[in-house]
Amino acid sequence: MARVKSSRLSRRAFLGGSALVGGAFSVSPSAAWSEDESTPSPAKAALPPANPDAEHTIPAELPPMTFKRSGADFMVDVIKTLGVDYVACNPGSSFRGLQESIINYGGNAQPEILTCCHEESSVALAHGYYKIAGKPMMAMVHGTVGLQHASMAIYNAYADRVPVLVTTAVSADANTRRPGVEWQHSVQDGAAMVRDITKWDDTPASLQHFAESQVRAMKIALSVPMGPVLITADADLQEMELAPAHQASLTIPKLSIDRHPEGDSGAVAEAAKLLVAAESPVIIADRYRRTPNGHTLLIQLAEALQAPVIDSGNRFNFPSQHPLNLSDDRAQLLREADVILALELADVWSLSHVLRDVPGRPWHTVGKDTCKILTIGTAGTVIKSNYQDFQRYAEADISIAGDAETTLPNLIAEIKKRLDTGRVATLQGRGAKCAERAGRLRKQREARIQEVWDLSPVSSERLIMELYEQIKGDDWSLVGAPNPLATRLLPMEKYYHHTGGSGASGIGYGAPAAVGSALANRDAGRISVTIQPDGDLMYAPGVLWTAAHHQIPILFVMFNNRAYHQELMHLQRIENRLERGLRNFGIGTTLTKPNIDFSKLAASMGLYAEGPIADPAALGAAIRRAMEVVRRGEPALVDVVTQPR
Amino acid sequence: MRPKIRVFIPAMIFLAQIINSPYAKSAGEEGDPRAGKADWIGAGCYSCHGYAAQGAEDTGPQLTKHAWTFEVLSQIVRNPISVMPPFTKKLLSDDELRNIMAYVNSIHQHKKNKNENIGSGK
Repeated sequence: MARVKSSRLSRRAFLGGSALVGGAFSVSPSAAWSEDESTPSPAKAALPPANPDAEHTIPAELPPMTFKRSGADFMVDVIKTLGVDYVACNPGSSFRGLQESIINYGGNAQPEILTCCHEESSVALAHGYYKIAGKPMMAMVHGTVGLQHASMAIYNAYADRVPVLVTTAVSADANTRRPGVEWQHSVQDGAAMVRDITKWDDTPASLQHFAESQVRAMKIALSVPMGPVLITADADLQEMELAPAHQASLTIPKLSIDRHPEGDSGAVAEAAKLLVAAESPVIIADRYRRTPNGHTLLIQLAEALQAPVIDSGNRFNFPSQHPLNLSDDRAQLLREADVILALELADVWSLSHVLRDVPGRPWHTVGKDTCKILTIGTAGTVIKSNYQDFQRYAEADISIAGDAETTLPNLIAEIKKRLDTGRVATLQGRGAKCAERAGRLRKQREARIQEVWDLSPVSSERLIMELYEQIKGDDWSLVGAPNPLATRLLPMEKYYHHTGGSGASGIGYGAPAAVGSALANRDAGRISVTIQPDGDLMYAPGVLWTAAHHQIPILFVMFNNRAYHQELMHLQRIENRLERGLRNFGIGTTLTKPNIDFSKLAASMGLYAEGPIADPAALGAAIRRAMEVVRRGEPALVDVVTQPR
Repeated sequence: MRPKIRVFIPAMIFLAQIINSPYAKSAGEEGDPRAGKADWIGAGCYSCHGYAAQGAEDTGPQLTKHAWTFEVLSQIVRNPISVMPPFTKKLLSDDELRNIMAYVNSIHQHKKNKNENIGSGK
């Protein structure tokens, strides 16, 4: 039986030229193989019958082993139309074509490659970047194993409603897969692993398909509620030769981003009526602010109603020192409220319920039975079944589907229409009481700071205030892991003063997100600082190297409580419940014996570093020295040994 | 998810009532504060209330504003009404709890002395 002819002249057919050359010739093994000598070259199967003189004949002509343009070059053309400035990646052979093209065809600019040491860092870096820059970044992850690594960070971005353009790759054609690793790292439906935690995914089958899918992915990522998207770029498509005729046939569609949906005007009018008539209204904002204008609108709303605002903190929604900011008094406010307006609130149920973490998990209602709950948001418009981040079902009296920031101008207008002079005067009195209450809470905070000032290990309050003392003269930004205490103690006014929550509370978000936010701040001329939990950094500390390598200025102030402390408390709770193992809560939760020296860790990766510091008196000077380094454009770390919380 | 541990208002009200009651008067006369410090850490009290019983945001109140008596402290620790986990006698003996009380009261006393010195200009 004649041997089957070779497969199509693919990227592996280096010597498919038996069809291209006339006459007999012999092909030396070294010329026939690329990397793997166990797979027969397609060229060998097509050789003509042996010629005794063949081994001494110089081949008349060999097929080209190089070409001018690749499929990945067109992919880069597409990406460049989307305004993407950076792509974070840990290298993977599955996207070698795209990576090479970004660097050598695209000039490693827009996007520029940021080298990460873990795919979780790549995606979380992109997550943090968006929080400051307000536009998405790309994260490229190797097929299968890279995407597996990235999945937690993708979930955080999904739960946080933050757009990230994730690209993975695959060797879809089994005929051209190299044996071994390429088979281990190929998958029929790689996106399936993250389909529940992405807004959309696609595996384009052609370059034109890629163009349309990549543009569509950007559009979907940026439509509220925003979220991560995934494109799988086939390796053959990346590495194929792009002939001029083929290139000429390709088009890149224009990106058109959806206008954000506004809440129904009738429902908005109803809500306005209730809010104006309320005696004790409360506004609670969660993932509300999308743009810098979000602050302005929420201030207008709160001041029109003279209503207190609770900032839940998943975004930075409302200036911390505004006299109507009563976030510290949340429980009391919700008990007193007769109308609650929730803006993009993930957990509406907890406005009127409390569940106790004791055996049986009993819950009860709180607040007035007659309290009206009004919600405006988009969380319910894109909701999937598997991951339960959508929280418990909550009853609302008016439920408005629409982007809260987009809806607010109309709500404010409807409220102002209904405010007569008499009502305005009454509301002023309410506002004055709120301001007085806010003042009392602030004094309590100040007294508290004094009480814990000299504690060793260092108290949270001391750490935060010493940090602020060194940055208050700069255009500063607190990034990375959320720190609710800092957001209450410090004067948070500008939209970049803090970056909110992580989305799904997946630990390991903090450090890479901090670097991503710091990257965006660097481009805007701002300095970045982060209060970095020790356990979080230990997930993928290589991101410190990324910051040093790419000269991203940021100060890491370690919150080194030497434990995964939240989990330590959980373990303690169960031990106590079962009346056993009282002193065993440190097993599997503490980071001691040995204590981790984060200053050495950071220094090993090129950062200026000091510590560990347990004496609060030494803290200010250490932070000052580190900030001098950061202002020069480099990252630095100060290891601070802290109280548990 | 890893939920925050919340301190309940009823616990705070209860604490306030106890602290202001006739029982919360004497300070530091029972128990060994040094042993109490070791028990404070070993039993995990520090994890919610801090190493110096100073309390922490969202996990545990400050415990050094007033002195404690054993009767009051024992009631709260053995049968907490908030999210605090119970420390029964099986977990924490009366002697150990007494030592812990002595440790916390010693901090209160130290702060009181400091404030009095400041007040008198010392």
